[in-house]
Amino acid sequence: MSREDPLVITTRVAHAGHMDHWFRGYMVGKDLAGRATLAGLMGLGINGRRLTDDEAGMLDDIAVAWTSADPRIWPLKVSRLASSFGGTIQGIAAALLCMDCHVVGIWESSLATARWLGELRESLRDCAGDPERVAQAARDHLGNRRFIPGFGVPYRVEDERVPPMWRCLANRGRDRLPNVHLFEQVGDVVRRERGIGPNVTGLATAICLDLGFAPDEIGSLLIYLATPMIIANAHEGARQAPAVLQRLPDDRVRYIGPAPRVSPRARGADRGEGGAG
Amino acid sequence: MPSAARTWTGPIDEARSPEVLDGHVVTPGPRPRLQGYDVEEDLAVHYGLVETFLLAMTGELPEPWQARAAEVALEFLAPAPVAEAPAHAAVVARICGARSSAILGIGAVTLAEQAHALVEENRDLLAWLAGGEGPPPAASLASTDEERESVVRLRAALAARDVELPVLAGDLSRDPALLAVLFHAGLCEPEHIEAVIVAARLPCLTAEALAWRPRALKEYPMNLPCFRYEE
Repeated sequence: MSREDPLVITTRVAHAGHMDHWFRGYMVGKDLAGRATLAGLMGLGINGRRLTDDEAGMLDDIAVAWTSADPRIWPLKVSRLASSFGGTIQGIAAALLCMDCHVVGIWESSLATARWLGELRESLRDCAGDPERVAQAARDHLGNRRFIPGFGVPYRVEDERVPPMWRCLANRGRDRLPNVHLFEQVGDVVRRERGIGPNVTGLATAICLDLGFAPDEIGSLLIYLATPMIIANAHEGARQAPAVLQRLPDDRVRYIGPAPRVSPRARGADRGEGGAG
Repeated sequence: MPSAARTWTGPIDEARSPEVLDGHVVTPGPRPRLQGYDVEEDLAVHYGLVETFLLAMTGELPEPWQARAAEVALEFLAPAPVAEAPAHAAVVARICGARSSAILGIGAVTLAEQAHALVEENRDLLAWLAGGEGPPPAASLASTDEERESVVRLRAALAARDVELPVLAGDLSRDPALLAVLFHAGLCEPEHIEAVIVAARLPCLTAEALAWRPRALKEYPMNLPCFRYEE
C-alpha cells in the first residue's frame, strides 16, 4: 500500500508488537514500565513528549487540588443518573460526554482560556513583563464580553480550589512560569473590572500551557485529571442503583407544558367522522 | 473521624434551588400526556409514530402532508450501513461482547455525531430554507448524476404519498434535499433534525450489530482501514 492509499491511516500513538508494544516512540515493557507514572503516560499519550517526574507530579497536583466530587455537581449528577440502573461504565461515559458543554464542562472552557492567553501573549509580544501593558491588553480584551473564560464559579464568589493549586505551584517553583504569571496578572484585572476571581480550570489551563501542551490538547488532559471524581460517582451510583434516580416521585416533577387537549382526529372520531389521517 | 450527627454544609446547600424538576413535554404519572394529548387514548389510536415525533419536537400535530413527507424522508435516512462509523462502531462493540446498552449507546452517540456533522455542513441551507432569498447555497447543489437520481426517487416517493415540494425542483443534492423535506415537515431546529435522524437510523444500526455474534473477533477485518505506525 502506498503512502497515499486512502485505506491507510498513519498513527503516532501505538503499534502492537510480539513481545512488547510501541507507544509514542517508546517500548512499553522496556522503556516505560516501572519508569513512567500514570500522569506521565497521559501526557506522553496526548502530545508525544515524555514529562519529567516533576511535570508529571504537577499533573497529579492538579488532579488532587481540583477535586470537587459532590454528586450534585451537574456532570457528576449525569453520571449518577446514567449509572442508576447498575452500569458503572455507562455512568463514566455519560459524565465524560457532559464535559463537552460550554457552560460547565472542562473542554470548551480550557480551550477558550488557552486561546485567550495565547492571544494576549501574541498582543504583548516583548512587553509581557510590563504590568501596565498586560493590564491594558487584558482590559482591551475584556471589552463587553459577558463570559470570561477561566474566571468565575457558580454558587460562590471565589473558587476555593485555586489557593491550594497555587500552593502546589509554588512548592514546585512553577508559579512564575510565563502562562501562570500572565494568568495571575490578568486575574488581578478581571477581579478589579468584573469582581470575579479565577477558577480552577483557568489556572489548570495556564499550568498545562507552561507544561508545553497545545490549547486543543489541554481539554483531554484535564478530563483525564477529572476522572477520579467521575469514576467515584459512577462506581457508587451503579452499586446503589437508587430507585429515586431511576424515576423521581411524581410529586417532585412539575409539568409546565401545554394544557390537556384533544386531537382533531379524536374529535372527528367522537363526531363519527372516522379517525384516519 | 466524621460522626453521624455532623451536618455537612457548603455553597450548594446554602444556595436557593428549586425543589421540583420541571417537565415541558410529557406529564408525569401513569397516564402520560404528550404536549397535552393523551398518549394511550388519543395519539396511539389516531396517529402514527412519525406524527408523534413531530408533535414532540414542534409542540403541534403536523398537517397530514407534513407527516407523510417526514415519513418518506426518514425512510430515505433510515439505512445505517456498516460502512459508516455508527454501525461500524456498534458492530465492533457487539463483537467485543458489549452489553446491549453499550452497543446502543455507542451507536447512538456516533449516530448523533454523524447527524450533527450533516446538519452543520448544511447550516447555510437551513438558513436559506428559513427565509433566504435567491438560489439555494451552491454547496447544497447536486454534483453527480447519482445524487440527482436519488432526488428524483425522493420526489417520486413523495408524489406517491401526494406530497409535492417546490424546493425539490431545484438541483439539490441528496442530503440537502432530505433536510429540506424535514424542514418543510416542521423540523426547523437543527437539534430536532439531528434527533429524528438518530431515531430513524438506530433500528438499522442495532440490527446490523446484532447480526454479528459476540466473540467473532477473528471474523472482523482488523486492518480495515490499516493503521500504520510512525515514530
